[in-house]
Amino acid sequence: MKKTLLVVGLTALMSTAAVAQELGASIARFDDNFLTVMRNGMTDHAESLDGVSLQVEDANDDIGRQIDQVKNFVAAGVDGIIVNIVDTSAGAAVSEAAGDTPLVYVNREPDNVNELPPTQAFVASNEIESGTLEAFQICRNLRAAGKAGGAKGYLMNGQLSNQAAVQRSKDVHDVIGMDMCNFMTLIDEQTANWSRDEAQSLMTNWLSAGEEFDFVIANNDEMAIGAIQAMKAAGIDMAAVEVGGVDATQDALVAMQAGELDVTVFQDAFGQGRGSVDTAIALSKGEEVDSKVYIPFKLVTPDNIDSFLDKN
Amino acid sequence: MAETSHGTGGLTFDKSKRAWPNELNIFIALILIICIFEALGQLLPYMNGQSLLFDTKGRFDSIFNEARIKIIILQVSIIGIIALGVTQVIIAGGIDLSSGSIVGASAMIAMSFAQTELVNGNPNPKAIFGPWAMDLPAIIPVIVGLLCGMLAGIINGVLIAYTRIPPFIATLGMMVSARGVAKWWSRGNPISFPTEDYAWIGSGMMPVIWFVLLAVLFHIILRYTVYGKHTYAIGSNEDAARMSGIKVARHKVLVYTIAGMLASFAAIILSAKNLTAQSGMGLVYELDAIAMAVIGGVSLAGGRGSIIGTCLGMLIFGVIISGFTYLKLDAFYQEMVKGFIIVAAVVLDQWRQKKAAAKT
Amino acid sequence: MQDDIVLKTEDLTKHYGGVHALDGANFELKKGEHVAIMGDNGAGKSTFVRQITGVEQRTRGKIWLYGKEVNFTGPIDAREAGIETVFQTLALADDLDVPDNLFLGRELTFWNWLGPFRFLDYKAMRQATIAGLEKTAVKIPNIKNTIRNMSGGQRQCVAIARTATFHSRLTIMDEPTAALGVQETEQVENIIRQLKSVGEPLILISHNMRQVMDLVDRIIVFRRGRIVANLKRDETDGQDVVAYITGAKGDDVADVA
Ligand SMILES: Nc1ncnc2c1ncn2[C@@H]1O[C@H](COP(=O)(O)OP(=O)(O)O)[C@@H](O)[C@H]1O
Ligand SMILES: [Mg+2]
Repeated sequence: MKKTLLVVGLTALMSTAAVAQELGASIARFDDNFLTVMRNGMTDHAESLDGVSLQVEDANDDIGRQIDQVKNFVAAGVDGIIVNIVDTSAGAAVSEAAGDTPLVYVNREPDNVNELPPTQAFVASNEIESGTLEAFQICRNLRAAGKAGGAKGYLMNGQLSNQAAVQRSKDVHDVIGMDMCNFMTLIDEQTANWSRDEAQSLMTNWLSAGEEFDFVIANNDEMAIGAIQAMKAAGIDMAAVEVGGVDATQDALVAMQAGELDVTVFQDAFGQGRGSVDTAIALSKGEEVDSKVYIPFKLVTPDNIDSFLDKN
Repeated sequence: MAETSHGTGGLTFDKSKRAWPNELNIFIALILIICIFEALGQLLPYMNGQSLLFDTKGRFDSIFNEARIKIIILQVSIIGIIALGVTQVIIAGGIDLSSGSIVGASAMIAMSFAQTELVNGNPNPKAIFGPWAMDLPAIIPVIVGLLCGMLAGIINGVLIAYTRIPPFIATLGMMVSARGVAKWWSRGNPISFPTEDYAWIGSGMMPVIWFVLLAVLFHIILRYTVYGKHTYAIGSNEDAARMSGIKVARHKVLVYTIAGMLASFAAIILSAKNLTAQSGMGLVYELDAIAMAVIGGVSLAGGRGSIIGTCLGMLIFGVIISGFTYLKLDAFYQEMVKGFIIVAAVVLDQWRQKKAAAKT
Repeated sequence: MQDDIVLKTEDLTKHYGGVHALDGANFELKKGEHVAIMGDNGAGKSTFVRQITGVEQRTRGKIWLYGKEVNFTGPIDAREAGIETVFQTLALADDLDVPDNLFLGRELTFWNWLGPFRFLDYKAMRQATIAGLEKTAVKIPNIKNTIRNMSGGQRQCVAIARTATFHSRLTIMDEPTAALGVQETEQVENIIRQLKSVGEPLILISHNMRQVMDLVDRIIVFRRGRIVANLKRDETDGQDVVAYITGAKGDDVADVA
C-alpha cells in the first residue's frame, strides 16, 4: 500500500518535473523597498503560472556572490535565470557566467546591454524618463503657481555611486537647462543616500541656513518624505513648496493624499518583476524576444493618484 | 589649596591635586572645529559671511542660529543613544559590531505592533498583522522592541563571557544574523504608519530629550555605582578584576545586554521619528557609534573613557555633518574627514597609552 | 593545637603533571611573627603561596588558619578569611585610582537595594584608604591618581596598603621589592616594619639577604619544592642561608619548619 503510494508520488513528481520551468533569480539586495516590490512581482507571477518554480536569492550587494549564484543556477540546470545586477559595470562577467542558459537582466541596465547574445535580454523601465517626468512636472506646477519669474530650490541625490541616482539628477539639471524651465535655480544639492532619516537631517540643515525656497526635488520618494517631515516639523506650509520624488511607494501616495507630496513617478516595479519572469520563460522555450523590453514610467499627481493606490 | 595629611612615617600625600581631564581636550577640539567652520564661513567668498552657530543675518529671534544648533544635536542623538551602550562595552574591554543590525531588527519588530488601522481613512496599506495588532497602546511595541535588544544583547554577552569567543567575532555574527532577522521579518517590505502615540516618541526634539535623559542616567551609573566601577576594572585588567572577586562573566553579559537594549531603544525612536521601519535601517550605525566613543576619548584598549567624552565626540560628529552642509560641500569630503578624525583619535589614544607606559 | 599559631600546613604538596613544584611542606607561623621564605628561582616559593591563598587547588596536604582547618575554593575565600596577598603579578586595575583598587570587589556602598547599580560610598572608601595609608606610612602623592600614572614602588605600596586597610589576619608578600629601586625598596621595608610594630603576622618572599636579615624573625629555605632549612634570624647569618639555598648544606630535609 505504502509502496504504491510512493510510486504514484514519484511518477507524479517526475511528470511535473518534465514539463516544469525552473527559474533562478538573484536580486541585488532584499532590503531595498523598490526591489522588494519587484521581487514580489516575480514570485507572485511565478506562483500563478502552472509548473513554474522560482528560486530567489539575495546577492547582498556583492557582485562576486551574485556571479557565484548565477553559476550555481547553471550547475543546478535551471531553465532560465533572472539577474538584478549588483554592479552595472559587471554585465560581461554575469553574461559569461550564464553561458547558454537563458538570462534576463531586470531593472538595472548592465553595461553590455547592446551586446547581449540572443539567449539574453533586459527588462526595465527607461531610467531617463523618471527624472525628466518628475522635474518637468515640478516646473509646470511652479509656473502654474505664478513663480515663472524665478524659483529656487534643493535637489536631494540618491547614493552617489548609483547609476539611477546619477541619471535622475542629470535629468533634473537638463530640465532646468531648458528654456521653459530655466527660471528654476538650485541653491544646493547633496546626497541623502536614498534614506528618509538622512533626508530629514539634510533638509533641517538646509532650513537652518534660513534661505527662501520654492521646491525640493528628490531622487526617490523616501528622501522626499524625509524632506517633508523636516519641513512640517519646521512649520513650513506644504502648499507653498513643490516636492517631488520617484517610485510612487505606498508611503508616498499617502503623503500625496495629504497634500504634502506634489509629484512622484510610478516605476512599475511589480510589472518589471512579472515581465522578467515572462521573458525568461519565453527565452527558455526558445522564442524570440527583443533584447530590451521596456515597462513605461508613469507620472503620478493628485489628479490621477487613484489609479495607482493599489499598484505598489 | 593643597590639602595634605601626614602619615606616621612623616610621609605625605596630597589629596586634592587632580589630573587634567581628557574630556577637556576633546572639548577644546570641538571648539576648534567650530571655529574652523566659522572662519570658513567668513573667508569663502560664496558663503557671503554666513555663520554656523550665530544668526548674523537677523533671521531668527536670538543671536544664535537655533535651528542649526538643534539639528546638530538632533541628527546625532539617535546614534548617540547607541554610542552610550557602545561606550560601556568598549570600556569593559569589548567591542559591539551588532548595534546597527539590532536597530534594524528591533525597529521592524517593534513597528509591526505599533501600526494604526486607518491611514487617511483607508486601511493601512502596510499592515503586517491582522486587526488585533492595530492601534495597540504604544507601550506594547516599546516593550517588544526592548525585548529584542535585550535578547540580542544577552546572546552577545553569553557568547563572549562563557564560550570565550572574541567580542569582535561574536558581535560580527550577531550583526549578520540580526540584519537577517530584519529582512526576514516582513520579507523586506517596509512597515509604515504607526499610531500617533508611538510617533510621539520620536517627534520633534524628543530624540534629544531621550538622549539627554539616558546620557545623564548612564553618566551617573558609570561613575557612581558598583556596575560602573566593575566595568572599568574589567576593561582595565580582567585578571585583577577576577582576583578581586568580581564576577566577570556575569558582568559582561549585563554590559552587552544594556548595549543591546540601548540600540533597540534607538530603533524605537528612529522608527517613530521616520514613521516607518525598514530592514536596512541602522546600517553602519555601529561604526558611527564606535567612532563617536573613540573620538570622545574612549580607549579601544578598554578601561578608559566616559559618557561625557562620548557626548562631546557625538557633538563633534554633529558639527561636522552640519558644517559640511552649511559649506555646501559634497558628502564625499564629509566621509573623508570623518574617516580622518576617527583615525586621528585612535592614533592619539595609542600615543597617550605609549606615553603612559613609558612613564613607568 | 596551640592558640598562638596563625598558619599551619601539613604535607602541603602541589604537582603540575610530572613537576613536583611543592613537596610535603610542613610550616608554622606564630602570632605577630614575620617569616621570610628564600630559595632559588623555581624552588617552589610562589607555588607554596598559591596553595595557601586558594589561587590553585593543592594536590594533597592540610592547611589550618588560626587553628581551623580551611579549604579555600578561590582567592576570594582566602581573602574573606583574612589572608591578604601581594602577588608577584600585582592584581591592580591600571585605570582606577588608589581607593578604587583597595576596595575592588568589596566596595563600600549605599542604596544596596539597587543591586548591581548600588551606589559607591566614595567618601567612606577614601577615608578608609587614607587611614590605611597612614597606618602603613605609605607615601603616595595623590590617591586620586590612576595606577597607570604611578611608579613601580607606588604600585607596590598600593598593593601592600590593601592589606593594612582591611586589618588582615595574615599578610603574604611575594617578592615585593624585586622590581624596585633603592628608595622605593626602603619605603616598602618601612611598611613591613610598621606591620611588625602593630603585630600583624607576615610571610615575606625575597631574594634580598640584607632585607631579610633586617626585617624578619625566622627564615625558611626552599629547594626543589622542599623545605630544607628553618633558621632563627638571631642564630644564623647570610653565608649559612646561602649554603642552604645552593644545596651546599642540608640535603636532609628539616622535619617541621
Ligand atoms: N602552572 C604551572 N604549571 C607547571 N609548572 C609550574 C607551574 N607553575 C610553576 N611551575 C613550576 O613549578 C616550579 C616552582 O615554581 P615557583 O613556585 O614559581 O618558583 P619560585 O620559587 O621561583 O617562586 C618551577 O619549576 C616552575 O617551572
Ligand atoms: Mg616566584
